[in-house]
Amino acid sequence: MKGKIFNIQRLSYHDGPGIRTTVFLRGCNLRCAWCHNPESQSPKPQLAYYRSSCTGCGICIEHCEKGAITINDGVIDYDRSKCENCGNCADYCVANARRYENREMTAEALVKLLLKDKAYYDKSGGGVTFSGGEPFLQKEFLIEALQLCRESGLHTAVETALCIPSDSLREAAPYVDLFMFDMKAMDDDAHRKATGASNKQILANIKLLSELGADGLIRIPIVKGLNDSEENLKATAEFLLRETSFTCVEPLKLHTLATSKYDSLGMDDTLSGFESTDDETYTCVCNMLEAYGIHVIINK
Amino acid sequence: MKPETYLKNAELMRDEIIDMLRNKPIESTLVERWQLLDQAGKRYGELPQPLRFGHGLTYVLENCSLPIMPYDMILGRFVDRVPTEEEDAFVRQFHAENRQIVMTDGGHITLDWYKIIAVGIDGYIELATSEYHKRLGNAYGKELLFYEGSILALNAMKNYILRYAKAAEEAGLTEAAANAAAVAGPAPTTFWGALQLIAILEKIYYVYAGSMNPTLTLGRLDDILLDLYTADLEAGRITEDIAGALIDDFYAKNNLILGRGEHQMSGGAPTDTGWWRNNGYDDPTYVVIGGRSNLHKKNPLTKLFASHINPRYENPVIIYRYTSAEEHDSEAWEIICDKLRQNASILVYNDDTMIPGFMSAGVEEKDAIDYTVHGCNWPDIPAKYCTIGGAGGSIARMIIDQLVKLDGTNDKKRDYATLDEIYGAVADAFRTHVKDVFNAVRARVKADEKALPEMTNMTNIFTEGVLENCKTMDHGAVKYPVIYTLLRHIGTAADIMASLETNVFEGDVSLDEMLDAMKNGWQGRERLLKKCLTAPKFGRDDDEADKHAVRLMNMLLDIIDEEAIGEAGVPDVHPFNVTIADMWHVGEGAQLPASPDGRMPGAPLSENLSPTAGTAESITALLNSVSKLPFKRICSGALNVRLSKALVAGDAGAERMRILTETYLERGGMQVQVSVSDTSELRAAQKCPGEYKDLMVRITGYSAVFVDMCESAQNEFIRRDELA
Repeated sequence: MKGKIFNIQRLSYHDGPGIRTTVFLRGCNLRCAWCHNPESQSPKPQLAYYRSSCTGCGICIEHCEKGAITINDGVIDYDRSKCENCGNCADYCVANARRYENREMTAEALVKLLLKDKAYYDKSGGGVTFSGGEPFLQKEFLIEALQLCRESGLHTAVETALCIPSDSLREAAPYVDLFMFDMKAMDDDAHRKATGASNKQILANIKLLSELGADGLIRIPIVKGLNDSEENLKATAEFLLRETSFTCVEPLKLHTLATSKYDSLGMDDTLSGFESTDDETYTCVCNMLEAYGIHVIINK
Repeated sequence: MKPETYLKNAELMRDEIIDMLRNKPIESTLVERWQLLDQAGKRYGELPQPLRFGHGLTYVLENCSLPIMPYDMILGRFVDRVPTEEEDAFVRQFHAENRQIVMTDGGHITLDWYKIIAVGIDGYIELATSEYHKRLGNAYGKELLFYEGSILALNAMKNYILRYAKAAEEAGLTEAAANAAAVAGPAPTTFWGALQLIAILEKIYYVYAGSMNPTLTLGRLDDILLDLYTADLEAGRITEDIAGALIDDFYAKNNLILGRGEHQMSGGAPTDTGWWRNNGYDDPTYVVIGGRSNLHKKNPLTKLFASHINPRYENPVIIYRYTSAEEHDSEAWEIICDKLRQNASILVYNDDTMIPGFMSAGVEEKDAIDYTVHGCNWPDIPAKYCTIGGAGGSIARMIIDQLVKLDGTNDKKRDYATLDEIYGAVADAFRTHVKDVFNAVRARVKADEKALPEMTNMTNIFTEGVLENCKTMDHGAVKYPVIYTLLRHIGTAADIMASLETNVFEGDVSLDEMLDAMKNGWQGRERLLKKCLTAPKFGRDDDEADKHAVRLMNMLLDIIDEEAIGEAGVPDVHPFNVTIADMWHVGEGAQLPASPDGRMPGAPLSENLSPTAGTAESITALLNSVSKLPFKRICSGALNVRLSKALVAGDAGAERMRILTETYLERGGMQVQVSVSDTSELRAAQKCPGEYKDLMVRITGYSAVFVDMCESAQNEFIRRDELA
């Protein structure tokens, strides 16, 4: 079977130890308002339109059968309600302002590509990270790729929101060297409001990973008003220390650099409503977690 | 001097240079030099060249000023100041009338530093005098003139050093004066003395003997100086700290020769003071460290020279030779990687490909082991080599030339049924060209067997075989008379072939359609253009493109090897295959029509060994693509990579820098030079140049201050992909 991939990032160094390649799989079952990869949310390919790259040549107009593109006073107008995502306009866009990412690969082809950088992984203690979206939404493909990576001697990491059936996790765990996951909020209502989903399954899966003896890197994306309170951080620490064997957390600073992606996809920009995490808040969160007995990994 | 005085002096020298690099006036130049050369020309211009040079250098070195600063440990400065209006007019007129007739040294060479340190100037005087006396019975002619001129010049150098030593003594610099005086004639017996001799000969070469941008490589300093350093340590004459301070002084003084403004890339910029200012000024200097050695298997000086590299300096450009052999010093290598990430002027070369590359050109292994590089990455077998011919050129152009007429009409040239036929046409044309060049060189080498020396200069004097055989280096003296065989713009060339294969011979586009679209500059053919732009590209670690880069290179290298075989059935010429393109990807591209890779008419080709700008997707993919090339058959070339600051920040960044570079070299990469600069920072520097006077970038084989480059050159640099 083929996996739906929206990006393969070589020389990734924020998604696990060492030098890595990160494979971003399409489709996500959460809708975090601060999402940095909005292009990952839909399982289907989407046409992205980057206004800043558009030269206004108008050639795309001739090749849009649905009349979704018009030009007024030299400015391209793009009506997404008429667009059927066929990608034809992107075939003619030499400025690369219209991009239609529709990459599908077999696990064999993917691993063949991943192996090209094996020498860099081996020297740096790195490997491969599967991210998304939610990679477990393409479970069969993910597990096949993980198995092939394992057979090829590649270190594997999976970045998951853990809002997935526990069986999937059990099935994948033997082939995963490191799970990377967020603890976004302990209060279930707050979690639902912020991500569109309950945290119950997520917390159950964290406990499961602990029981399985899996290596885990837990992250908290610091979202002001959602999870930076003493109450949430205390609950997070208590959960980890009482219910699991995990004792380390890496708080992450939120940034708002990805807002242009929302515009390119015609999506409501929910990210710009957030503030980037300032140093003071970051330090405060770290200190509180440490005070509750958590070993904090500082994100550099 | 007390140990702490060495350190303090080095610090003061460093402060002077940092200030100079940022704040020297653009107009500053070597007025005194031009005045002296003008006077020398008037006095000796009518003499035969050897005497004109010998007397001219004597006059200049006897009359030039001898600036000294109280913290100088290594002597050798010159007057560098803003000319008056009258002086400025004089210098411009001097150059306009081409009145520089005394000096001929063009640099781009490595002198015989091993021998210079071993025998001193006196050793050369003795050799020249002895050979002169052997020929005294001959008719007075070219041979005797050659030696007379050479001996005059050598004595001029010796007396200049003595004169400087005396001036230093009078200025109260007793130890520096004694150190310089000791090496005026005799061979140096200490580390400090050797550094002094190299430094002062370098100054003489650049400032007084040099003609046009005479870049000079100062040799494998760690290898050359190790025995003296070890003897000093054992005798208690020096400590590692004192040696470090002397290296600091030496490195710093390499920057004195630099003007503000960038000598190749400032045309039209506010910093541009004209090409003339570059005559013996604003030049890179090169120091080589690391690598395999015929003399030493372990060399602590490599680490010492590496650790004293100052990332804020433009000079010297450090050529670090990486090797997997036993000489490899992992600590020195880690220091080099840390300096690389700090954006230091360093070019990393790989002995594991370079030495076989030279050997494939007929260089003996012991000579190949001593290779250096000069100028814009030109390969050099020190004191044993001279370029006497050139062949090859842009591979991209060679292909386009077989597709369309390059007479401005861009009409279709001929039909091809397969891609192999295009390969064949390129091969045939290249073979004819190479055969012609090689035969011309053979004829010249034969004629040179009887050649007598017509001239002399510093380069000749300090090249092996010149004084010994009474021949100049370019007419029979050197062991390796070399042909540079240029193989440029491989990235664009591979992309052209990949697009032709994908879209034409395996796709649904006819060759006629493709050539018509090229002729029309893609007007109305946007779909085809898009297909060409999205065809496989070199630099993405995609075998569908990279295989063409490898095939093209091997095909052309095979032809070179075959044509190098002479009548006796063995190679009888030395082709140094190089991929150097300098900045010609812009000029060459401007002359060419659109190409099947999706390149627009007149657009730049790929730069040196880099992929076409805009195609690289990751640094590892880029390095993997490039390392597939058959570098064990190539003698030099540059891979410019521009890295984001975030990628190499901090200790983790230093480690990434090491892993990336080391893996690339282990996979067979030949060379890499790094600029650490974010696009946003470069754009900001364009807006506020005054705030970015320290922002240095690698051009080809040298560094430049970004804000001193002209806008078009800055934009061209920004076009290089920033790899994060």
